[in-house]
Amino acid sequence: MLMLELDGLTRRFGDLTAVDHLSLRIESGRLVGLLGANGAGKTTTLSMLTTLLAPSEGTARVAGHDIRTDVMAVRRSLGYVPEHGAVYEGLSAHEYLELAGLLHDLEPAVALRRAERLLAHFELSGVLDNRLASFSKGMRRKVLVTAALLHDPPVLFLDEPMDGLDVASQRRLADLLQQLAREGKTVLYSSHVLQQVEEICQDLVLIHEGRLLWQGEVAALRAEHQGRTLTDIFLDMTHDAGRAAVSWADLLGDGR
Amino acid sequence: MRRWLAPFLALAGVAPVRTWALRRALRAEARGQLVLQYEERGRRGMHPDTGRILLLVLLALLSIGVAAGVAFLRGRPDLAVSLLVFAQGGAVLMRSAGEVAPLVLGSDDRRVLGWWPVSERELLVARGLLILETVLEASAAMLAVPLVVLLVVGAPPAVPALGALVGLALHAICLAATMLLAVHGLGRLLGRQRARRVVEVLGSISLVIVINVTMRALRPLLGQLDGLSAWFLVLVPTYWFGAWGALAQPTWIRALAAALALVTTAGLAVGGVRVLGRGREAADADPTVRRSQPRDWTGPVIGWLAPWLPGRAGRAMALLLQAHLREDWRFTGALLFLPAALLVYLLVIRIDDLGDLQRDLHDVPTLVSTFSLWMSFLALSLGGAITCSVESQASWLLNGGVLDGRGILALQRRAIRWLIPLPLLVVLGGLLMWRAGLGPLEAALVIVPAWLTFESLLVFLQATAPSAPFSRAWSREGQGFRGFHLLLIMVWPLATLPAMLGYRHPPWGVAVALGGQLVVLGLLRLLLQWRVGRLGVFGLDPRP
Repeated sequence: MLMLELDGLTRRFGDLTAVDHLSLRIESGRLVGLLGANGAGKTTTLSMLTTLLAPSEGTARVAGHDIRTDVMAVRRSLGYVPEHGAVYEGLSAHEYLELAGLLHDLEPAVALRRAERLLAHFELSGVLDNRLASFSKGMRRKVLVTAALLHDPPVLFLDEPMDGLDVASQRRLADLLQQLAREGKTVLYSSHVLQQVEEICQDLVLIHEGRLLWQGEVAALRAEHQGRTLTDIFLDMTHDAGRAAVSWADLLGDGR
Repeated sequence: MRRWLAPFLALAGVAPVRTWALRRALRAEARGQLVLQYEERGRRGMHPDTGRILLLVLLALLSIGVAAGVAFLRGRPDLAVSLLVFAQGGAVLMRSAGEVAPLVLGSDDRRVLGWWPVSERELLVARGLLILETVLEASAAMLAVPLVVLLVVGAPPAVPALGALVGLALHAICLAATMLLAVHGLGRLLGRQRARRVVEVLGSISLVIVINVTMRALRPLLGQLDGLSAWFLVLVPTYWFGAWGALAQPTWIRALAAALALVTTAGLAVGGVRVLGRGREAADADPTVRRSQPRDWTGPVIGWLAPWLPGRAGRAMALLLQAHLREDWRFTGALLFLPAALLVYLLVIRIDDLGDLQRDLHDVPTLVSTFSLWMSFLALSLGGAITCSVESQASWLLNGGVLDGRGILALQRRAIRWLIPLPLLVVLGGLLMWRAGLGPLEAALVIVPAWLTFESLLVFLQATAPSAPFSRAWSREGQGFRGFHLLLIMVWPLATLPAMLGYRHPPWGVAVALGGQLVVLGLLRLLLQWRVGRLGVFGLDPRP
């Protein structure tokens, strides 16, 4: 079943085209890495798919719902972990997750039960009543991931979800994401850490300067470029590989 | 300009080139932030530059009143110049109140510049120069016309105006330095986050004091000014700056006052910077270190509001309000406390001073306008605090939620309405019947216009606020918006004037006055519906 369908999705900010006629299709049950250099348009794409940002042109369907015309249905279908996911610091983890549940039509008792279990999975038990202001970056990240999963959405968007997590938590989250994909959910995992994406994801979507460069299975990409690392392939595709080495003196430009 | 200022900058103990570059960067960054926020809203609403120019035009319009005052005082250049100094003070305070605190307390300079070879003093002076620009701009808008009038009607012509120019320039520097050093000093003493809260509370309290107390107190004081001795005048700092254009006083008084103005300005601008620019700001506590939970007073408040916030969306609104109250409790707490304090002041402390109270209670139109003024203050301050709250970074969660925009706005109005204004009006109605012997209908006729004023302003606020519920941070834009509200508080009572006049001619006048208010409320609701229909709810619908 087609869960994500982008048709010429475009976003302009004044003269800058951040996402340029991006079209792709993703089936259910896939864990897809969204890769791109800084400023490639990953976060802008996710902002449009999560209905935070209106597209300038084109559209997309999330779980069959159009992001332009069926905003509420799209929001019901997705869970989202933003890159700079700030939280209401005045609320406790319990209250914050109750709010996240309420915003997605979830009964408070159900939200709390799921929150307790998910936080326990991330080894964050016993802090449900603490205010989020007292949480470290990694702890907040775990709360954000929990909030995104609470309502059991069929589609998950994660923007740099491992940022701030310790190694053990990274492993736990990676395992959980793979399990979710096996159970039929669609996960779009945005990152610029190639090794992580290579390790966790089945498929890759590579974008550069807002345009689609490549889409397919990680294994297929490796087969196409036998013997090369993903880093080399990435640099090659984004035309960064041929850049000649520059001396320090040239960089300073003072003729040393 | 830089070359001209270089000796003064060196005297303040900073490197002129670096400080000037910092000033330029801060200026560009301040404008950049506003423009960025404007662009993020899809270039809807007012461009920051247009807003700035509009404010200056407004100040220039206000200055016509000052110019008329100067013309009226043509025989008394000393009083005319003092009037200019007062007007400048007002304009500067209004313009810079929203600038200094975000610049000093709301910025991330420490995070951005913390490891750069820039001293605290250089940062302070660069901020000072930036504030001085704002201050001079506001002064020019406020004083250009009155100064021309003084130039013509001064006795002898031109001389007081030229003297006033020097005095006003010193006054501008002095005000800018005072505001900057006071806020900076507070930040040094308490840390930025705590200082921010204190400034918010002081801001709200001073607003009420200005409206309810100072204006009343100034009237008799100004009447007695003629009777003051020359010696007493030297004790009034405002006179030091006005003395430059005052010719009626003996020369030695003017010389002493002018010397005091010079010393104060130099002391504040150079001495203050040298002293307060030493060392570093008090660091804000590391949030991850604080493990103990602060005391929570929001439970009973949310419990009180629960009947008016039913259902899933109501509970979500209650949680958002709780987050807001905990984060911003000093400001909102002060706003909740102030009406009660005013009530106690009016009905308990002044109970023996029956003069004003009895007159007020027997003059229903005056009561109507007084209550309406309180309600406009509450609608804009409490409503503004909640709509332009501290949670901007976190509002993406709200944005991704499955909420009906119109519904959430209605719930927000209910939460604000029942938080204090409506219970307060009920208590006021009861007191009017109990203490002033008004009948239920008479009391209702006093209360209803105040309530309609509150509702109208609340709807207006939602229709114009550049933010989602609980979404606006301590930002320059938020501050600018509060400045706009401040102006509205001053202007809105004029709109209640027809109601006041109508009340002098019952029953038809009363019916027309109330009908007029209902029509205004209806029109504002239409404006809100049109805006929501066309643009969606800010922060809840996809960003255009």
